[in-house]
Amino acid sequence: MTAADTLRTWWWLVHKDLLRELRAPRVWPAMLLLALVLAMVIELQIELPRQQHPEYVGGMFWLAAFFAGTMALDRSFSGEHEQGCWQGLLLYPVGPGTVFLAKLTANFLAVCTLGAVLVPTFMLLSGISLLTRPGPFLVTAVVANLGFAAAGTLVSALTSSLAHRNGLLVLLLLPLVLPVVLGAVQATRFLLVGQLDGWWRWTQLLACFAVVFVTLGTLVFGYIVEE
Amino acid sequence: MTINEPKLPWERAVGWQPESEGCPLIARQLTRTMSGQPVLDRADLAIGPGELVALVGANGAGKTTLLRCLAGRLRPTAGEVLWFGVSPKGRPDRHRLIGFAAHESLLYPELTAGENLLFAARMYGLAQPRERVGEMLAKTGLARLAGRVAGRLSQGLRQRLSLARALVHDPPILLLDEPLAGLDTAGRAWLEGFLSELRDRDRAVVFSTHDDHRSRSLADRVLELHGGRLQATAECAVIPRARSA
Amino acid sequence: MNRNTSVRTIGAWAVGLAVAALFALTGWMVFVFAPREATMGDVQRIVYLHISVAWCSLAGAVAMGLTAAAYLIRRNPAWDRWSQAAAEIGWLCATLTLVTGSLWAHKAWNTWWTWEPRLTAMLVLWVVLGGYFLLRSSIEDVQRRARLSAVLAILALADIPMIIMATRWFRGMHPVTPQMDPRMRVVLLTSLVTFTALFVLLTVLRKRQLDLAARVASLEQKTGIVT
Repeated sequence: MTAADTLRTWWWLVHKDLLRELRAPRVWPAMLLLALVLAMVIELQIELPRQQHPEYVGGMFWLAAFFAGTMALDRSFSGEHEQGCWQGLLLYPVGPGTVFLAKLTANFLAVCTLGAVLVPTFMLLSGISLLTRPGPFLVTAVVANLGFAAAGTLVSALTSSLAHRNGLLVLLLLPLVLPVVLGAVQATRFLLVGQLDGWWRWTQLLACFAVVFVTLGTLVFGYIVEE
Repeated sequence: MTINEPKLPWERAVGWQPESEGCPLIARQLTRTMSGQPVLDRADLAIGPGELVALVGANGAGKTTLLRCLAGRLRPTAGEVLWFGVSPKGRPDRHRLIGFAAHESLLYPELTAGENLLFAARMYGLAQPRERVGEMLAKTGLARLAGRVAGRLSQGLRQRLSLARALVHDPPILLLDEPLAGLDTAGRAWLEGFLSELRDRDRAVVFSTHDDHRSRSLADRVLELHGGRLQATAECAVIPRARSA
Repeated sequence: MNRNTSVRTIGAWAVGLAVAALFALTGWMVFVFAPREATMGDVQRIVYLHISVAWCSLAGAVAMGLTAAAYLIRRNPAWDRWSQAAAEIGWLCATLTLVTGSLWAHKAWNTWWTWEPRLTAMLVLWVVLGGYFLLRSSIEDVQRRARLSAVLAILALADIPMIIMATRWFRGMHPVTPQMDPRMRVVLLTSLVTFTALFVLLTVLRKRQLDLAARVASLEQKTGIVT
């Protein structure tokens, strides 16, 4: 299979996932609603003096984003197990690495969309703009979401076919993505208080995590889906 | 039935050699255990081009397991599967040689019949996927239902669509898991005609079924799975089926 | 008893006695040989145990990951049993690390818990290993369990350096080698050697137990007799 074939296959796999979600929205609406509820509850409970908001709004934002994002990850494979679709997918002449990258892309787009909705929400509720430096914030968001989606796609694949999988995804995923959670929160905090050195150091850790887990995922996914 | 046993009369009549390069499907000492229990126990078989083979056995005999091992979907505990002399292990590109229709439809319920086939055609890397999809829909009598969502099709129509999906890339080897189940009389007649046509086009076809009597009249050969062991039934070793011109 | 079993039994006893002797030596060194620390007093002596079991828990996690990779490559069930044994002893050591860390923190800072980077990283490792056991217990099929838990072990191994880095940066602390009295260093080194030997002995014994359990299960299946 040439690189062009692989790219084409990857694209049609992503297209299929997005089309399915568009036709029968099950994940995205629930995920977005959960994120809004979390944002509301977090902002309501934490009453901070206004001058301290920049220190903490990043943390609140990312907590809501990652918790709601697990919903998309949870459904990314369980939706395939209906009607044996997952078996059908693995019968095609497609390498498991390509299937992983396609699932990762769909999950990445889901969490990015979630972020795009949450940013104005938090800005509205907290009165703090997360976009004072939009370029660096976007860089942090992209690498954080990529790392989170990569680890989440792998853990979701691990747990999706288990009989007693309730809650297992969250239990396995959250400790693994601690570097992403810490990294995203700290990078955002440093960005909002204007310390770009600190922001850059944490963003590098996020990028490292994303590279490691995307690479590892491409290599080990075949072992997860093998029977 | 092992490959090394003396050839049965019908094999000599068909005139192919299981060990030759051109043999579409060979399984050697295929074993699969689950939780320590053998589901398949040293199964040997060879399916030649233009052969229609029925796989019979009681519920839980291992028919689906055997078909999934032959399709490269299940990793055997021991033994090997060869497609045209080459093992499919670690070679996902060779899945183009196989068409597989399972007991479940393997269709995305939210996508239309046409979209399901188009997705399959694209996954197989077909040069003109839309044209091929139109062709398959016409062949399976589903042309007017191309725009209907797969989840809303009846069992029989889903079965046809599932078959169309398995055949969209015109594979030389076809593995069907209980294709006759849930079909009415008209549906069965259609499927039997379809299978005969595939045989006439030199496709190697293996289908599993509970309907022992009907399968003997349709198939060239009947293999029975019992306790994980594969054996040819006595009746098949009599007269090879005459092919239609 | 055949010759191999006799040699193995004698060997196990010899190693056990050697480890017991090392423990006796270490005990003497910790309580008699090591000088009394100026600030913390005798409470400081818990550090020799704390650092040793922390090192063993990391060793357990690394061994778990490496043997898991060996299983995926060789598909020999013995590697999976090594992985499980190393994870169990590693988890035990992580538990001891958290307990001794809490005891030390209570005396030093009058609090049972502090988000000190090393304790934080150890807590995350403890949760990750717990998740590993949770996954194993969710899968009945032996081969599937070995395969999926091997993948999780590899993900955990890749993640550990980033978890350690993230927790250290989080507290703004850079790695510092504490100024230790030369006698204290000798005691620490001895304690590390002793606990490493104990870790290896326990892992080998546990693996042997798992081997025997697998053999019993195999015999039960072959004969149909369930014990």
